[in-house]
Amino acid sequence: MRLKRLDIRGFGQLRGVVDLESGRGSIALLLERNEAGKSTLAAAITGALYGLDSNRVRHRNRMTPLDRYRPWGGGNYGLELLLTRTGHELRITRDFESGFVEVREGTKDITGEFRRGKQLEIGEILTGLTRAQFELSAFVPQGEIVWDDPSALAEALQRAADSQGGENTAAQAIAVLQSGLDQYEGTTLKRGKVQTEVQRCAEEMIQAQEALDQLETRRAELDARINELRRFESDGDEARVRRDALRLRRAATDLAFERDALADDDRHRARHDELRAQLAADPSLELINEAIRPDLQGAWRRHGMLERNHHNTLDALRAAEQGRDTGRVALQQDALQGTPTHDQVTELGAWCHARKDQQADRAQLRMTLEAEHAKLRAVGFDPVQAARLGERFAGLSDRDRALLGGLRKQRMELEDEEERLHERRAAATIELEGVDHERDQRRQRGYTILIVGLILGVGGLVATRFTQLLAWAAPIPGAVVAMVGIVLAGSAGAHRSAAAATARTRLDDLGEELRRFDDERHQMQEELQELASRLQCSAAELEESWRAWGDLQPHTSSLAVVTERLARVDAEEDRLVGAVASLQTLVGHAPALDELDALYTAFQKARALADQVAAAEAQRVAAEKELQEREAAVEASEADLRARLMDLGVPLDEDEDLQTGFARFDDRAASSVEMARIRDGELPQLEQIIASPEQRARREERVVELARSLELSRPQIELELAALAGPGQELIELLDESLTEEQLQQELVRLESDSEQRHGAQTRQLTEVRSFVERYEREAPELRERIEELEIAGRKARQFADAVELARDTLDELAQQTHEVWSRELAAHTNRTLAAMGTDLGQVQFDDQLNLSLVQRGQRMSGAEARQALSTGARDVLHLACRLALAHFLSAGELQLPLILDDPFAHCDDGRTIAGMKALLDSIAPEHQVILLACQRSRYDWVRSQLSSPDRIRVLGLEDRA
Amino acid sequence: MAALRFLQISDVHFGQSMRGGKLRLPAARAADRMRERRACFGRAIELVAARDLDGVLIPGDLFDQESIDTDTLRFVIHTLGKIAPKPVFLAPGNHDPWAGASAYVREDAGNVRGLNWPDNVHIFAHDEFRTVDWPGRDTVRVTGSGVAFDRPSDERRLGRRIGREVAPTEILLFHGSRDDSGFLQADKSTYPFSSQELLGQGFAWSALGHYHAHQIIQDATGRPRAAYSGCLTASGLDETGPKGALVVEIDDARTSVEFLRLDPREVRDLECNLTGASFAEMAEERLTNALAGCSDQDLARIRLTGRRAIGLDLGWLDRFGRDRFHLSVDSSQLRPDLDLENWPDESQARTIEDRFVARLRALGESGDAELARRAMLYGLDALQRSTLDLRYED
Repeated sequence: MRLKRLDIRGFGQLRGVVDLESGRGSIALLLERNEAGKSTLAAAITGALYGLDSNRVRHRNRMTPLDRYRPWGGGNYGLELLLTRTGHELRITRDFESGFVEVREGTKDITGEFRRGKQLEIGEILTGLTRAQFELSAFVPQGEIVWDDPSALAEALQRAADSQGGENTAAQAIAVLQSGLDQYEGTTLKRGKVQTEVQRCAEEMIQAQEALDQLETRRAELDARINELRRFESDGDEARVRRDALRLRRAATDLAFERDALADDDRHRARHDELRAQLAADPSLELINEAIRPDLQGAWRRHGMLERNHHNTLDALRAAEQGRDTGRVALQQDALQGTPTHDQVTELGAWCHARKDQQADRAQLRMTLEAEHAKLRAVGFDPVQAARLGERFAGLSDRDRALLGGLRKQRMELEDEEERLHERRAAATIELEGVDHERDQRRQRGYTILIVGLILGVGGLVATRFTQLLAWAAPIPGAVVAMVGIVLAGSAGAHRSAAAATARTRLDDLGEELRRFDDERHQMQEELQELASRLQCSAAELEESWRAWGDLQPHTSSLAVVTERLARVDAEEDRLVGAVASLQTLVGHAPALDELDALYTAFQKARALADQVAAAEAQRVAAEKELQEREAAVEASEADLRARLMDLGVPLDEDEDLQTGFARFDDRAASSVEMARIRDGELPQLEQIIASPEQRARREERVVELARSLELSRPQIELELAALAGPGQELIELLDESLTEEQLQQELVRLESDSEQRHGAQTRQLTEVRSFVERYEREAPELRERIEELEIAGRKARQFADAVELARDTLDELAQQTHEVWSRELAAHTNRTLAAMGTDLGQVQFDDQLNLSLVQRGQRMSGAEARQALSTGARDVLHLACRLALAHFLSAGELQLPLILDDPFAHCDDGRTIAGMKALLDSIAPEHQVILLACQRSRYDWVRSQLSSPDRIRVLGLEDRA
Repeated sequence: MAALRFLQISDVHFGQSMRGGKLRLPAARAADRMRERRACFGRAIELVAARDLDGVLIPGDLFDQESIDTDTLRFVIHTLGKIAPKPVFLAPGNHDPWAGASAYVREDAGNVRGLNWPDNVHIFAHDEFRTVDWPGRDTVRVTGSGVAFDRPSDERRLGRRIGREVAPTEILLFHGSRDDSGFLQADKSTYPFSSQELLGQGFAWSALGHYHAHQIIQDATGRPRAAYSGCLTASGLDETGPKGALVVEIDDARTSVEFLRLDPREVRDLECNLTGASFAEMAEERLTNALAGCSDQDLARIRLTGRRAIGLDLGWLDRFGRDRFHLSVDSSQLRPDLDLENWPDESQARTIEDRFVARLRALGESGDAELARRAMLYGLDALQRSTLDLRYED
C-alpha cells in the first residue's frame, strides 16, 4: 500500500491537498517550520485510515482525537485519502462530523469489503495492523519519550506484542490474574487466596458432612432403638417364657374348649332332630298361623265391646223413663194454674229487678230532697215560698225572662250615662268661662300697647321741635305700636265669640242625648207593666219577686232535679202495676207488687221441672232407638264368630256359648305358637350353631393338633420354667391344671403389670429419642444447607481458580514464546538498520521482556546505561532503528507500510543524518513508503546535495498546498 | 345448594431453604423470607374467618420435605387448628409424602414428637382415593389421596375413573402434573394427567397442587372446574409473578375463582444487554432501566448479556442496588466486546492476545470448552483492565 494524495477539507489547522507520492525507493520529504502542522498531517493520515476515536473512556476524560482535530476555522471536518494497493487506486472519504465513511475503487463503492461485523476496519485490513500497532510502528512522532524512560520502550513494545487494544501488557495481565487468585472474595473468607477458599470450603464441608453423618448415624441408631423399644416386650427372656407358659396353658384351655364345643355340637344335633320330629307331628301350625290368632282375638274383643254397649244403652233408657215420670209428678203438685213459658219467667225476673230498683231510687231521692230543703232554710229561704216563685216564673217565655233580666241592667246603664252627660255639660260651662277670661286678658294687653303707641307718637311730635332731621318720621313708631294694640284688643273679642259658639254646640248635643235616654226608660217601663198584668201582679211586685227568684236560683237547681226524678219513679211504678196484672191467668188472681219475688221463685221451679221432663223424654226416645241398633250388631257379631271358629276347626253347638268356643281355640293357638317358636327360633339357632361338617372336621383336627402340641412343647417349657426362679415353679404346678378364665385373667394382669414397668422404661427412652429427633430436625437441614452452600462456593472457587490459572499460565507461556520471537526479530532488524546507517553503536539485544540492551565491545549496557552513555542523536538513530524494526516485524515483510517519520534526525550530526537518510533510501524505502517530516530546509538541502541521487528525495511543502 | 366457598392454597414448602438457587439470597434475607412465608400462611388462613368461608383445601407440598422442624410444625398445627370446626382437607404431595417419618403421621402411628393434628384437619394419608364428607355440608363430599413417595411417577391415576359414591357436589384434592399445558419436565412428573382426564372424572371442582404457577382449567362451557393456585410465596427464580391463594365459590349455576395476592414480593428475572454501553454511567443507566417496573421490595436477578466494551469499568456492580431488598447480578453471559468468532487463528496471530485467544479456542474445541471459555474471558479481562471485576461461573 502506498499513499498518494491527501485532500484535507478541514483537519486541525490544515486545509487543502497534500501530495504524498514519492515513488518506490524514494522518500517524500515534507519540509515545514515547527508548529506548521506536520504532526497534525500524520494524525490526519492515521485518521483517514482508522478514523478518529471519540471514546472518552479510552482517553480517561481527556480531549478525544475527534475533538482535538476539529478545524480551527470551522467548516467541513473531513478528508479524502488516495492510495494504491496491489495496483488499484482506492479513495477513502471521511466526514468526521457526520461519521460518513466511504471507500471507492474508481467509481465502485467497496466500503463493504472493509466491514467486520458492525465495524468498518479500513486501516486494519489495509495495513494488517491495529490502530495501536500502526501508531506504535508506522508513525514515529518527534521527541517520543521512549528514550527518556527505557522501560517505557519495553512497555510499548510489549503492548504492541501483547494486546490489540488493551491497557495491559501480558505481564500486567498475568499480575491481574494472579491478583484475582490472591484477592478472591468467597464464602469462607472476605478476601484471600482462592485456593484457601477452595480448601476451607472442602474442610468445612467435610466437617459439616461429618456432623451430618453423625446425626444421621445416631438417627439410624435411634430408629433401631425405637424398633427395639417396640419389641421390648417380646425380647425379654422372662417375659417370653412367661408368655410361652401362658400360651401352653391357653392351649390346654383351648383344647378343653374345643372338646366341650364338640360335645355341645353333639347335643345340639340331637335336639335339632327331636324338634324336627315334633314339628312334623303337630298340624296346628298349618291351621292357625300367626296372623289368624290376633285377628280372631280382635274380633272376640270387638264382640265383647258390642255386648257391653248394648247393656249400657238399656240402662240409659230406663234412667230416662224414671226421670221423666218424677218430673211430671212434681209439676202436678205445684200451686200455679199452668206452666209458665221461658219468656214469662224471664219477664217476671226483670220486673222483680225493676221493682227493687224503684224502691231503692225512691228512698235515695227522698233523702236527697230533705237535704236540699235543709240547705234552703240554712240560707233563709222557705221551701214553700221557693216552690211558689218557681211556679210563677216557670211559665215565662225566653223574651220575658230577657226583659226581666235586662231591665235592671239597662236602667243602671242609663243612670250611669246620664250622670256622665251632666258632668260633660258642667265641663263645657267651665270651658266657656275660661274663654271669657282669656278675652279680657287680650283686651287688656291691646289697650296697654295702644297707650304706649300713643305716647311714642306724642314723643315723636315733641322731638320734631328740636331737630329738622327726619322730622316727618318721628310719629311713625308710636302710630305703629298703637295699631298693634288696636288689633290685639279686637282679636280678643273675635276669639271669645268662636269659643262661645263651640261650647254652645256641645251643650246642645248633650241635651239631645239626655232626652233620648228618657225615651228608652219610658218604653221599658211600659213593657214591664204589661208583663206584670199578665202575671197578675204589680210591676213593683214583679220586679221584687224576680229579684228574689234571682237570689234563690243558685240554691234550687239540685232541688228541681230531685223533684223531677221522684216524679219519674212514681210513673214507673204505675206502669209496673199494669204489667204485673197480665199474670193473672197463671197465678189465679192479680198479683200485688210485693208478691213478685215469691211468684218468680215458683215460676222458675215450674219451668225447670217442665224442662227436665222434656229432656228425659228425649233421652228415652234416643236410647230406645240405639238399643235396637246394638241388639242387631251383637247378633251379627256372634254369628260371624261362630262361623270363623267353625272354619278354624272349633265348631260350637247351639247351646254352647262363644266363651266355650274361644277356650278351645286358645288351646289350639298355644300349640301353634310353640310350633312356630320351634320352627322360627330354636331350630334356626341350632342350625346356626351346629358346626358344618368342614368346621367339625377342622375342630377335630385342632383337638388333635392341640393335644400333640401340648405333648411336644410341654417338656421344653417345663425346662425353661424350671430355669426361672419362684414364679416358674408356680407355673409348672399350674401347667397340669386346666386354666380357668379367672386364672388366665390373673396371669394376664401380672404380665400387664410387668409390661407397664417396661413401658415406663420405654417412655423414658422415648423422651430421649424425641429430644434427639428435635435436635436432628433443627440441625440437619442447616447442615445440609451449609454443605450445599459450601459445595457451590467450593465448586465456583475451583472453577474460578482453574480458569484464571489456565489463563495465567497460558498467557505466561505465550508471553515467553512471543517475546522470544519478538526480541530475536527486533534485534536482528534493528542491527541491520543500524548497520545500514553506518552507526557504531554496538549490537542491540532484547531480553524476554523486550528490554533493550547494547553490547559494545563485549560489554552489555542496560537500556538505562545506554541512555546515559549515548548522545541524543545516537539515541534517536537507535530509536528509529527500533521503530523501523517493529514496523517491519509487524508487517511481516509482506505489506508495504507508510512510515511517517517526524524529524527523526533532529538531534543527529550531519554525518549520522546523511547515513540515516541513505539507510532509509536503501533499506527502508524499497519496502515501505517513507514520509519524512522535517523543519530545517537548508539542512536537508545540504543533505540532498551530499547524496548521489538527490532526486530520490521528493521535497514537498505543506504550506503551499494547504 | 347454598354456595360452597373455600380457600385453596398449595406448595407452601415450609422448611425450604431460600439460600440456594440462582437467587442467591444471603442468610439474613433468606431468614426474612422464611418469616414472610409464615406470615402469608397465617394471613391466608385468617381469610376463612374474615370471609366466612366453609373451609380450606391444601393439595400438597405444604412442607418441603418429609422431616420438618418442630417449631414450624407446631406453627402450622396451631394455625390450622384456630379455624376449627371449619375443616381443612390436606393431601400430601411429592415433597412431603405421608410415608416414613412424615409430619403427617400421628402420634399413635409412630410420630415420636408427640404432635397431633387438630380434629378439623383431615389428611388423605393413604395411597388410594378415599371420599369423606364435608362437615356441616350434607351435599358436599371430598375425594383425595396422598403421595407416598418423593420420586417421580408416571402412573396416570386420573386415567381411570375414581370409584366413589356420587354426591351432589364432589371435590377432588390431587397433587400431580398436568402434562398437556407445556409445563411438564419429562423427568419430574408426578402422577401426570391431562385436562381431559381430569374433567372426565366429573368433579365439581378439583384443587390441584404441584405446579408453582397459577393456572385454571375450564370445561367445554368455559366454567372453571379446576385450578393450581400456584405456590403461596415465591422462593425460586422461576417463580415469577404475584403469588397467593384462591377463593373459590361454587353453586349450582356457576363457579367463581378469585386470586388473592398474599406474597408482598415478586421474583423478577431480568436481562440487561450491555452492548454499546461504553462507560460506567451508561451501563448503570442500562441496569436502572432494566429494573424499571421492579419494586425495591422484589427479589430480582439480573442477567448481564451482550458485549462489554473494552475498558468498561464494572467494579461498581457490587454496590449497585444495595438499597433494594435483594438483587443478584449474573455476569456469566457477558462477553468482551471483541470479535472472538473472527479472531485470527494461531498461524496468523502476532500478538500474545491473538495467540491466547487462538490457543484457548483450540483447547476448548479439544477439551473442556467451558473451562477454556472462562479462561479466555478472564485472560481478556486481565489484558484490558486492572482487576477481575466479573465472575463467569454459573
